Amino acid sequence: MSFETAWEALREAYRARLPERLREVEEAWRVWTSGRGGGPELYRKVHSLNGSAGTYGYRELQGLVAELEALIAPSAREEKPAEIDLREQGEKLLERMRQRIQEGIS
Amino acid sequence: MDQSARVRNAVRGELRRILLVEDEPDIQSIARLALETLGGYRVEVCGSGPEALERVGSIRPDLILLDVMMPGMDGPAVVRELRSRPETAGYPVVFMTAKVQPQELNRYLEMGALGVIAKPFDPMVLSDELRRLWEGGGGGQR
Repeated sequence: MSFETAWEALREAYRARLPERLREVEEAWRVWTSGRGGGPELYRKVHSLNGSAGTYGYRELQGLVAELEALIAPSAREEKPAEIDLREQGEKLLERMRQRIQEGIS
Repeated sequence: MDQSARVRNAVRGELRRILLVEDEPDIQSIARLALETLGGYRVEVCGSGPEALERVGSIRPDLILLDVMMPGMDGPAVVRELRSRPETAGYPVVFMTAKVQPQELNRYLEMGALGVIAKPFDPMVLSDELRRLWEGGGGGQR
């Protein structure tokens, strides 16, 4: 199997897993924004999704995830609570990610 | 960098076998594909720092490609542990990280790393970049 064929197969498999990956981020987001801790875990999931989306070439999605990572990094990594304006911005970014994935990223 | 690491780095031969230490399965898959198919390397994968420390003696890689941010034991902690053991102190290491500010880069180079691969990496050029670092092309990011 050529690199290109294997690469496309991996990209497609990754794309198919994206809804589940986003659900995991959203669940971690709900935990953190409800004041139940879990900031570092949320940050780790977002950071991981950021890196993998970029490596697999889904740059538009990666851009949104990178925005979310930058938004939460100062507080989530230090296990600080989410402020209201941060929560609003984060919800908007998550909604845009959901839309992009539902529309079918390429 | 300690003396044994200097010696080991100074006498590098051909790069054939790579130990990839990365916790993210999606990154493991594409890095392995790129390094094996495009680079022609043999690649062994460990999903955590402790696993890498346990297996490195039997794998005996020419180079360790090491993610910086991993849960539990991060990349720099793995290097510190490697360097503390005489039998593993000299393994060449290249870090992979999304954070490649000059200050961070210098810190990794001072630890004895050959260099840093910036994440997200381009699978098409990962092998070339690793070979460049192996051949002494400098420690900077892509």
